[in-house]
Amino acid sequence: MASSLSVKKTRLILGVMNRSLHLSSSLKSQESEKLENKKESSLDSEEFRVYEIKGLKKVSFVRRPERWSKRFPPPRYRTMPTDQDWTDVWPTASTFKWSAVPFPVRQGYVENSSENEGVIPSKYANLELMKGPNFLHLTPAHVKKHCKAIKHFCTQWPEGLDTDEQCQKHFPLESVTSDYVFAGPSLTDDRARVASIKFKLTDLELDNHARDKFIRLVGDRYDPDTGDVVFESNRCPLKSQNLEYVKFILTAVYFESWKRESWEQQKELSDMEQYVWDQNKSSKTCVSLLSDIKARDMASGDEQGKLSYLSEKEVDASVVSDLPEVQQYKEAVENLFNDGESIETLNTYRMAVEKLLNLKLDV
Amino acid sequence: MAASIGQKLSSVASRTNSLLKKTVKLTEHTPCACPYYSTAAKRLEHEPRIACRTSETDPRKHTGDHVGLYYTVPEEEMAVIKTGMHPWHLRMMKSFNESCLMVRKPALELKGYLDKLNLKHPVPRFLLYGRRGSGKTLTLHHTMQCCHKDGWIIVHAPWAGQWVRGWYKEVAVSTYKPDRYDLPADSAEWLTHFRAQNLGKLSELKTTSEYIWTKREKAEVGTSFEEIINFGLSRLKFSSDCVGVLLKELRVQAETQGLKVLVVVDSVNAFYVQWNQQNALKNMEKKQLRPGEISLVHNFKKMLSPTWSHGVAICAVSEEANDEDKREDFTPIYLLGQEGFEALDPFIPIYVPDYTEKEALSNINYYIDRNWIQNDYGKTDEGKRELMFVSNRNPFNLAKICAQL
Repeated sequence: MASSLSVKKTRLILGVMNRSLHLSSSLKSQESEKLENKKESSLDSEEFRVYEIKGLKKVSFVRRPERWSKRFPPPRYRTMPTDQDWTDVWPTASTFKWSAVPFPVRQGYVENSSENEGVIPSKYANLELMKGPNFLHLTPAHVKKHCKAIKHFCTQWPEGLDTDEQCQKHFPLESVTSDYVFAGPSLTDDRARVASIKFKLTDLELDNHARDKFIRLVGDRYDPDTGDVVFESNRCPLKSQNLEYVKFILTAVYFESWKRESWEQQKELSDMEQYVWDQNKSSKTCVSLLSDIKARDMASGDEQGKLSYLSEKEVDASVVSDLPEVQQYKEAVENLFNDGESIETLNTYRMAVEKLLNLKLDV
Repeated sequence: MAASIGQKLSSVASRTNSLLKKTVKLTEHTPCACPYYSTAAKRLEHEPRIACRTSETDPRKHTGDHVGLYYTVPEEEMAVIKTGMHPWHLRMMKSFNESCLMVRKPALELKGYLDKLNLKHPVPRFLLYGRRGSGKTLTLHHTMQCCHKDGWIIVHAPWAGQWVRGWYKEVAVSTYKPDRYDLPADSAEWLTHFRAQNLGKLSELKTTSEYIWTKREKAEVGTSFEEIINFGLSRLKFSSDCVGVLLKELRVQAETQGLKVLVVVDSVNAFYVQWNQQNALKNMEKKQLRPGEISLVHNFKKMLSPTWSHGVAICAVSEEANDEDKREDFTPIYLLGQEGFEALDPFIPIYVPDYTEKEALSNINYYIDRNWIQNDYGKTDEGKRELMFVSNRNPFNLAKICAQL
């Protein structure tokens, strides 16, 4: 309203002053053109201008051609035949594509009933579905196709390697290397040089000392839960060099662990990480006690209450430790120290001592 | 006051209500015909009789059926175990106006072992272990009474921790060996305790070798134990040596004369673990003593080694005998340490558990019977259950909680 008033005012001034005037920038350029023409014609004809009432004359407008709008085809899943080959639709690993997936799926979190009308979002433009990995490229059909493609590279499975145990027995050393294939200007890949070997510690021929030293030397490369040792190397530029290197490490550590250095002799009982019954005082006490009992049994000549398992055997440290009763006792004591005391381990110890000393519980 | 406690209890009860509803009805002992011993706390007539006692006062005849029941220790046998008992227990017994002990499984197990024992073998060692206040000491007392009836000589160290600690305790250089130390007062105390426990048996026992105390004083061969004890009590300087003599003689005579000797040591870990607190014993040079340097401990350690026969050693480990930083567990090897284990190995560990539900109930019923629990809520089924829950069925905890009711 305010702008139309100001237009009228300017026109009046133009009519009276008959001079060119500077127009305010608020006026539209179209209108200013019109005014210029009128000004010229009025100057030429020296006549009054005809006032044109807006809207009286019919004006014909030229319609602008409509902008080309994008027409989306219907999503692909609508046109999919039911017997199609899915591996063609989804050949490789890719992000979830809602239009190519022919089944309804929803994912997301709806906080309350006002949000999305309380319905979990469907697959259309669903970011949650895109975030996670999918296995639509690894369906049974895909796997079948892959297998078929690589089948003629395979050889027959050797006989006598039917179970994992057999494989482990005949091939104790497992080496892992990787090849990386991809489309790019260079075929080399840094990661391809890494080589590792894995084996069970029990497959190596080691005595107690060597085993202990081996474990200390390899550090966290040994997993006590599974008993596996893994050596891995990426320090050499080539895969074959790295493989050779890890085999060298294995050889070196093996022979090093068999060596006994002079300072290793200084290890005392209190430095032991495990309680070993044979080295402790308990074994000596046991042998002397049993020999004492035997001497007393011989002296009394009484059959009742005698330690029956000791009869006719020379009581000697090596003989005694082979007796099943003593073995059981030894195990119980070692358990007590190595696994920690609990009512269970103490009870097994109690049973072992009962057998060792022929004490009977009569309840 | 009683009403407010009742309110408190009921509020606690309502909180634990969900727990209570799940449990089944408490199973009690079937009532048996047992005499009513007390005159102090008379039960009302209309109250139902609760079975928590057995009339079998002879501990040798206790069987698995008696587990959880109280038996009365006769007055003359009470004299045997009385001197070694903790004052707290004696106070309780005085309050109850009778001396009752509960028959428990560990004691029966011990009795089972003793019945089948071949005494000609070197001494077997038994070790009781269990949580604090679970009844190790009273199990020892039960067994001691049992053995006393069988005519065993009892050598009892009521609380071994006493011999390695004490404020202003007299520590003298041993008259027998200069690198050992005597505790005259403790030795004399033990001598009286030993005499009281083996009353009537000691005058018949005679020494088998000669013991020379000083230039002028000596004990000839054939001196009775009674006289040795009297000498030790009159000449405190030699009391520790007297203990050593008695123990040595017992070891020798057990083999030769067929005596049966029961060695009982409570808190045996005090013998093997160094006590490092302020009140640890020190010699004249203010040097802290190791337990092995104390002659009493040294002599008792000999009783625990399997070098002699016709005897049994029964020990108990307790957390209180160890330093405060070594009380985290109640298991024997942790408390004894490596040295203690090596000294006692091979031993039979016997676990003294907390009360079973039956035993706890029997204990509560006994307290009700003795009017120790007077609160009405404590007498209800729900209240008993709550007591068991709050005390976690630990005997000492239960006694402490019931003391306020």
